[in-house]
Amino acid sequence: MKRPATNGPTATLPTEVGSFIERIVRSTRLRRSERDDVRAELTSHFAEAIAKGATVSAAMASYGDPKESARALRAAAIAKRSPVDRALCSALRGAAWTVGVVVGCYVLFGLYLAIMPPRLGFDPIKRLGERLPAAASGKDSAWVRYRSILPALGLTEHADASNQETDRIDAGPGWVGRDPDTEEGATWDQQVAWCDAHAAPLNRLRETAAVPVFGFPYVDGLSDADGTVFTEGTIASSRRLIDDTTQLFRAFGVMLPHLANMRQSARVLALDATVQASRGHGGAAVDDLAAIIAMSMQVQQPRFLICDLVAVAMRSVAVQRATMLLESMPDAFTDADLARLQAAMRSVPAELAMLDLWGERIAFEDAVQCMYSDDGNGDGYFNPTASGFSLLQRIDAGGYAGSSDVPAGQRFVVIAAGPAAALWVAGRKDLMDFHDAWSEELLARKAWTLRELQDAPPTTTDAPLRSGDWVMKSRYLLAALLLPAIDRANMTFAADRAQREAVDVAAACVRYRIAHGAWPRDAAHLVPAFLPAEPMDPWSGKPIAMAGEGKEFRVWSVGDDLIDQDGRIGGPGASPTATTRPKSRGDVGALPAACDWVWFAPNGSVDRWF
Amino acid sequence: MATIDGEFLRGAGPVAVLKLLERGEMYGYELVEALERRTDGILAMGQSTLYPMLYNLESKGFIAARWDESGARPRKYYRLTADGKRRLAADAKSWHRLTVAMEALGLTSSTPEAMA
Repeated sequence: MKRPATNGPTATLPTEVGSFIERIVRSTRLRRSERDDVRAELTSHFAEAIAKGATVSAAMASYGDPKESARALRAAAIAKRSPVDRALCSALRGAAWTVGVVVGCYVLFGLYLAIMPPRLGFDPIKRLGERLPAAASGKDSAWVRYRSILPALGLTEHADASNQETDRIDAGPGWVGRDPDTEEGATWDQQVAWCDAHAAPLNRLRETAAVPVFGFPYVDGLSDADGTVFTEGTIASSRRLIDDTTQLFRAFGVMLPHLANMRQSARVLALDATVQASRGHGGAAVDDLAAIIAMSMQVQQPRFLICDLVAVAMRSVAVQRATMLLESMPDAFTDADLARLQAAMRSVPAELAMLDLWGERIAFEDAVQCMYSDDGNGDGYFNPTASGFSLLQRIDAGGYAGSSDVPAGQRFVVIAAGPAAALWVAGRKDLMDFHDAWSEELLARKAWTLRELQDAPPTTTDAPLRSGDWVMKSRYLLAALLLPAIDRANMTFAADRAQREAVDVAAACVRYRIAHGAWPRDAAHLVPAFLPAEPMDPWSGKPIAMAGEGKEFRVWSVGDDLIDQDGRIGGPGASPTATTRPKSRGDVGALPAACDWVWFAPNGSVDRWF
Repeated sequence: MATIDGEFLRGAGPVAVLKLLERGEMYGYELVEALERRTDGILAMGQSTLYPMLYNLESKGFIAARWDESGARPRKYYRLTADGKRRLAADAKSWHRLTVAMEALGLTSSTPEAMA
């Protein structure tokens, strides 16, 4: 139906009538074409009324209530629409309401999150300190002594001549007649001279290793007094970490700058042990080796995994050097020296020879409190601030470094996406339960042998995080980013235990030879005089194998392949069939996959150690 | 003359409009006037009520409309459709039966005064 073209209702009517009609038309909230229909109809109506003599006010009064009219007109106009049109409109209206309600809830949830930001409920650094042994006074703290000894040995962060010289000594051959490891490395004679020149600080180093409390200032932060070992930058970073309690992930940032120095100290002591043994001073060599073991236990205060791994690496230096010296110059050692060496190898308490994860839990819990709201009952939503989210991105990219300034655009995105992320990402309690299940599964294996660990299936709790399961990875974002892949950590500890037992057995064999003039025929002969119990092969579970006379004598484990190759060590031109390490694969790439792990082979050669 | 209240008019109004259009097409204001004049004001409904009613009747297909711009003022004329005629016939019968029933009850008479 063709509607008359109008220039608006006021074109032919008095202004007040035009306004009256417009008010009704606007109130109908109909579509444009429907409004035009209504406008035309009412314009015609009032034009007729006025043309027939009605006054403007009478015409408007007799028309009735404009609001009521608009409502009725709207209902009638909608009724005129097609059923499909009405259904579509109804659906759209429903959808709009739904969207509105959802958006409203989303905004309200966003406001809730805004007023419930992450709250730091505990100080991770203080908690770290709660389990650290405390020194009664400064002189009871090993670190106070180390910080004056390490500079004397050139074992500091400073790039001075003393350090460079120690690095050169460290890169030396470690044995008479061998070439240095690098072009810059010192000769054997220079290494010997260095050890002699540093006899006093080396002695103090050995004495300090026996101090039970390590006393490194993890909780108080480095002070100016530590400037003898560390640079100003390291000290300033440490101070910032301690002083600024608003920093995120402080436990992850705990400064462990001493680990490199302590590890190098172990190598220097191992060199001195070689020098002393080469002079026939087995007792002094044992002092050095025992000091390394003792220092490794100091490093394990506190129980952070990185500290554990460095400690195990230090012990590995000691056990490998001990075996090398026992094989190459067994006559340098007296029975008493060897008994002391055995005691040193057994001195590591069981708890320090196993995975712990205590520090990791503090660090993880700290990360969670920095990223989650807290409902007071141990639960909460994933609710990082913009700077917290930025930190997560930096961690995902491979480190904590980088600017913490967050661009305004990114800040907006974090706020806008916050409620969605909070609903999607696992809640605080759920995440901590996941962490605890993960650590429990790992700790359940902490006392397993090499064989048991080798045969064990991979851990299952964290398997989805290591796979391509993006749903789990995104829901357990913090776990995916922060939990270390430490499937192999238990194997590292098991190897540490086995390696120290190997030295224990090697020392027992030498003691047996001192006592009986010949090597033992089997392990049972070592019990009880030289060993408390018959040593077992950690791979096969059977008594450790030993055979041979004189320089052919050898003690061996069948290794991870379980193939007994008679503990033979390849001579010149022959393929090597043995390794000095508990596991042949992975960490000894040059060796064949299948080979025995030879514990002790006193054939006079040190080739297999270099 | 008093008008009839809204509830009564809601049922009677559409029938009255259909009846008026039985004679020929009419425009909105003309219907307003006719309702007032021909029912002696009894069925004079608020003008604001008439147009929604016309829309409803149109949407049900009982009446049809057209615009006429040949006169001094544009007018929208409504006419009865075939459906509208059938509806009017049915409603007329219903109203007749109702009237008879009311009369049998003594509720209807020739003058209101007689009801008193």
